[in-house]
Amino acid sequence: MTEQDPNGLSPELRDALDALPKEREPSAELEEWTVSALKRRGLIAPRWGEGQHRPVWMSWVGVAAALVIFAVGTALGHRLGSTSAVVVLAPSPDGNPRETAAYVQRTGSAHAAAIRELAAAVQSAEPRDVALARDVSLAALRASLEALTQLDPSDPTPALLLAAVQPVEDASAIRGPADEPWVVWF
Amino acid sequence: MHGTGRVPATDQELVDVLREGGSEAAFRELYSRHTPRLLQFVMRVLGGAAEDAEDVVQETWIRAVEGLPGFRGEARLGTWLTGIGLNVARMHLRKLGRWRGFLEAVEPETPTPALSHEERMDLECVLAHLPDGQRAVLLLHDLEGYTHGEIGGMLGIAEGTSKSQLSAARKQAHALYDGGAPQRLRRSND
Repeated sequence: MTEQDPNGLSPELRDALDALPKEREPSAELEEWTVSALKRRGLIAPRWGEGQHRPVWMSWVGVAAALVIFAVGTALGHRLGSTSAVVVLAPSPDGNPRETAAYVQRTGSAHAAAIRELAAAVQSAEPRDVALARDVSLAALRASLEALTQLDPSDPTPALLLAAVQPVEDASAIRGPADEPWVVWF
Repeated sequence: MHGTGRVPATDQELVDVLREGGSEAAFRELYSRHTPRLLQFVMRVLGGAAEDAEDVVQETWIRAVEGLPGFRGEARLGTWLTGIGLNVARMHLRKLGRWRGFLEAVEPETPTPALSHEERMDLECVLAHLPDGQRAVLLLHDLEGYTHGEIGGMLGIAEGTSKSQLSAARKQAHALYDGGAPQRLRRSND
């Protein structure tokens, strides 16, 4: 070992000091212990639910808010449910092409949804009711296709589909008893 | 704290947030930035006791956060923490009856401890065998880079005392240390 300066560090000792690690990873628990100790002393703010109880009035506000949300949600659900039926049954808007186009979308979606719902419940439904619904639906489909051919005469698709859904000659096969009137809206 | 594209908050900004609102997130960020260095320093001041060092670090943080209203930001936070940690460590050594102050350390002939050959090649071990006061000054000056003026302020001693302590510490370290190749000295941190 060569000490160059009586009050200084030898190169070996200097190098050895420089090689020492400057940092040391603390244990994982130390941070949590320290945070807990600081919270106990009120030096850092605890999060809600961590050793701090909400005031009673805040609990009641929470319950009231939950009830209001539930009531509003229920009312909104009822309103939306009834609104959809009204929309479907509402007359076509007059004179406004944009509203009319939207009306077509709403009624088309409602029609398709109703058929899907009926198909799902076909086992428990009255056969006559199912037959009536099916007949009405096909009539609606035909009426729609006829209208579509007028909407865009250059589009061959509506015409092809219209030809495919023409009624069979013996309509009685799908009709109910002769003494009961049929209601077809199209 | 370090969201994508965001500039990390400075220590002073975090200190302000912690001081004003007691933000746990701000504290955790400061903790993660400064604790590894503080822990290593405190452990050496204590002579290598890892468990005691963690107790001292915890107490250091508590005192630091308690004292934040008085932290003006004139010194770096790391320096401020080092000063607190040093004093907490001294108190800990006093409790254990190990801190003997600086007076006896400046005596010209401090007895040299008997170390094994293995210990003499291990600088951490050599440092741990220095008198506490000398070790503190050597660590602060030669490892942490503080001036004698800063060391005097931290330890409450005159600059001249710091210098004489450092001189004695170096002399003792040279006498004890028998390491040559630096790679032999890089012992595991465990």
